[in-house]
Amino acid sequence: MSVVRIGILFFAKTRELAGISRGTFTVNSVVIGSDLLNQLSQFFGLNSVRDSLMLALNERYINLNEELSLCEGDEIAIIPPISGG
Amino acid sequence: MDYLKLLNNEKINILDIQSLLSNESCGASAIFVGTTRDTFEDKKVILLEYEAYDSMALNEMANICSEIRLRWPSLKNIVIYHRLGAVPICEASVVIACSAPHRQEALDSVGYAVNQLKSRVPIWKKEIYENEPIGTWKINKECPWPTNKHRPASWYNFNYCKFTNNLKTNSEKIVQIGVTDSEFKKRVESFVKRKRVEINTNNIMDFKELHNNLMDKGVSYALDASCARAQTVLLKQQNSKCLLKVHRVKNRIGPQLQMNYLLEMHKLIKKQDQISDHTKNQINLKSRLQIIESYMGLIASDRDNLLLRLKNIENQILFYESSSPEYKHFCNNFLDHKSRLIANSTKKTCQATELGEFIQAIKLSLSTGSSAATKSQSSE
Repeated sequence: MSVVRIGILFFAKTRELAGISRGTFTVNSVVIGSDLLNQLSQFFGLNSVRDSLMLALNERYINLNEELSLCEGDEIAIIPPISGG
Repeated sequence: MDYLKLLNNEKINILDIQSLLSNESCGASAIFVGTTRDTFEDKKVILLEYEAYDSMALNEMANICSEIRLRWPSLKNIVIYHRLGAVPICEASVVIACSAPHRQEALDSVGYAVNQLKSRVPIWKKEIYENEPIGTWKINKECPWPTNKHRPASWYNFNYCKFTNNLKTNSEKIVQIGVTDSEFKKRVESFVKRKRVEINTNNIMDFKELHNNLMDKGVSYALDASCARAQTVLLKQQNSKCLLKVHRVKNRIGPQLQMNYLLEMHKLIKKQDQISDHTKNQINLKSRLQIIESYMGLIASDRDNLLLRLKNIENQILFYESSSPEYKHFCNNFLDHKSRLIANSTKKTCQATELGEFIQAIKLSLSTGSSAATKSQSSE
């Protein structure tokens, strides 16, 4: 199984907790959505809000129960609960 | 046309939007304007800040546009503007507007689009309150995640589930548990699991005869307490970790397998039948029948055979009729006395006393002379 380097975007609460708005992460190219979220929460210090987070891959929401096939340079956005409007 | 924009530190001009919407074929424009409130749960809001995942937000807005165009094909122009950055109180933070030939489509589509925007466009709002330097990131109630169990307490509207005071009266039955949701869920699950294991064990106890191993150790086991009909002795197989060998199966016989079960059941059902409504009548009829029989001098050979008894009575009546035809006429006329008077029957009937007098008269005439005899013959 190959390993890929992906870009990570942080917003709102997660940006404040991680202290950055953009980062990179190295992960297996095939991974379950919730596993990826666990790894990211662990790595960027988001465990306290982990259960309220959603992920978007290249600007599309993903289903956390499904398997992702990631490519080098993919962009994962960590999306806390939204409050637009 | 779809007009989508994220505005940074720039006011939304409603007049501009109105001109964007206008179209000669449109009779209706619906404009929703979301403005910033100055209070939240009695706290005074002094500033609001919006932040967005710009590229994805614009994508999602475009998706919403194509969705509502699919649902309301008559829509002409759609405008979705959202402000970002600091927005002072009472200013418009979002505008969603649609124009259409008729008002229904315009109004419906705007309402739908507002809900969609609140539930999927990645924009975040932070409220900064008076006397609270650290702001709070808000959560739209339309946001599909996180699922309920992880939502903060402030998210719930407790007015929907009011607590009543009867909790206090049952206090000995209620335990207050101060744990997190996940811990509470875990405890409930393990309780359910333990109960399941308990039930399963009891089922196996029922099924197995503990006689052999437990009785020896002085543990009494009430067989009658078990509802299992088959009891087995299970032995662990040698060289196997899981397979159990059935050593003996003892089937306890249920009532339906007993020898004379059907016969007994039949009797029970028969008895049940006798306690029916007819019973009293039947007894009554039988006694009446018996009275008739004794009056007619009959003796029933089989008391339970009603048909035979009736037949005997009929035979007796026929016999009476054949030996004395007047008997029948007398009965008929006696029962039908009134109709006989009306019909003024021409047939002469004689009663036994008349016949007696008649015979006496004949005897007298035979002894005294022929004149009386001719007189009596004319009356016949």
